[in-house]
Amino acid sequence: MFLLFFLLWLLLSGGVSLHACLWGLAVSALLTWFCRRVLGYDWRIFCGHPARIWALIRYFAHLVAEMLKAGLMVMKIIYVHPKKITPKLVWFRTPLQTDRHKAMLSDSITLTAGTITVRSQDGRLLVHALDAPLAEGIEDTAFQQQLEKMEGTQWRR
Amino acid sequence: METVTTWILNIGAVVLALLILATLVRAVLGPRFTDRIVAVNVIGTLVIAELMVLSVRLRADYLVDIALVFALLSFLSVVVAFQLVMSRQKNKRREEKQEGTAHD
Amino acid sequence: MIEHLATGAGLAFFLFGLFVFFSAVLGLFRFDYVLNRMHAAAVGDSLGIFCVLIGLMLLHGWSLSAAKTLLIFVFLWLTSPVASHLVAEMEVATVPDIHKECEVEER
Repeated sequence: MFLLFFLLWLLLSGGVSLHACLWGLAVSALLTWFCRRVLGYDWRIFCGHPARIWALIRYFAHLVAEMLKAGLMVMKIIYVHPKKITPKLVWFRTPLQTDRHKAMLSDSITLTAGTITVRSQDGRLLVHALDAPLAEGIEDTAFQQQLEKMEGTQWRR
Repeated sequence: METVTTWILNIGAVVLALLILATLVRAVLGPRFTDRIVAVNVIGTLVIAELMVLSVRLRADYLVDIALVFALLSFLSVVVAFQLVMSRQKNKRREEKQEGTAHD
Repeated sequence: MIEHLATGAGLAFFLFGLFVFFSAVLGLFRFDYVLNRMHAAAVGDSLGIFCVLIGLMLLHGWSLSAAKTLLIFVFLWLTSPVASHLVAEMEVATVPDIHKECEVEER
């Protein structure tokens, strides 16, 4: 996390001079302290087992591919038959336990065009789908399987 | 190659400006207020794209920073609107409930 | 040679992104309900900005601006799902009768 802030500082100040580095070190140390003490973040979110990082990278690659496919599908709907769709709201139960993975799942669902997470309540998600075929198999997507696997191997406090 | 790039960037900037105008029409027409919020959100995204195009076309690097700030602000505006609407909704529900119990 | 290749790829990405934005705005006009319109907006937010910013990063070349563009892109991808989720929740909470617009299914 400290490293992240420091890189962000260097990127925004636009150059690696001694002055920028010193101020960046001070500010990012302060921010790291603030985040851990006041906001309650933990720097260990970002590191962990190498297998987990590999799983995260694979997850994001999968997300990009899935998003391209879904985007093209929605564009087809826009051009071909925009009036003949059957939008749908689906409540479904997710087996994920931790809040972080639930948030990642709903973010991924929303980022792939065609489905939007509307509400999340005690382990159930309300998802709006643009067309009925897009809602099929929403309760057991590849995202969810990958996240379940990651949840199984995650580092515990 | 250089002139082709310049031309395509010019055309792209003009097209993006026209798209922003079209989305503004949607924001004015929108029957519900959520329509308008969605349209404003899309305008934010389009403005960021336009700023990036201009930063390449004019070779002005400071426009990238402006686009970054714009992204932050357009997200913040949606969050503020959400808080406003939801708090009002809660107040309305509470008033309705109170009226209901008073009538009973 | 490689520079020309990068410029060409950047222009192709940029034009495709423009096309995606165009269809997103077209979708805003052709759909007839907010929740459906939001999907068109989500296409523009995710796919359109992805293509345009990748194209412009290639046009920028290897520089600080390209890194900042990547930062904007990551930021937009983090926030746009949150924004559309908030709008959807607002809509569902305030609309008087959701069943008239679309069917609700329990699983």
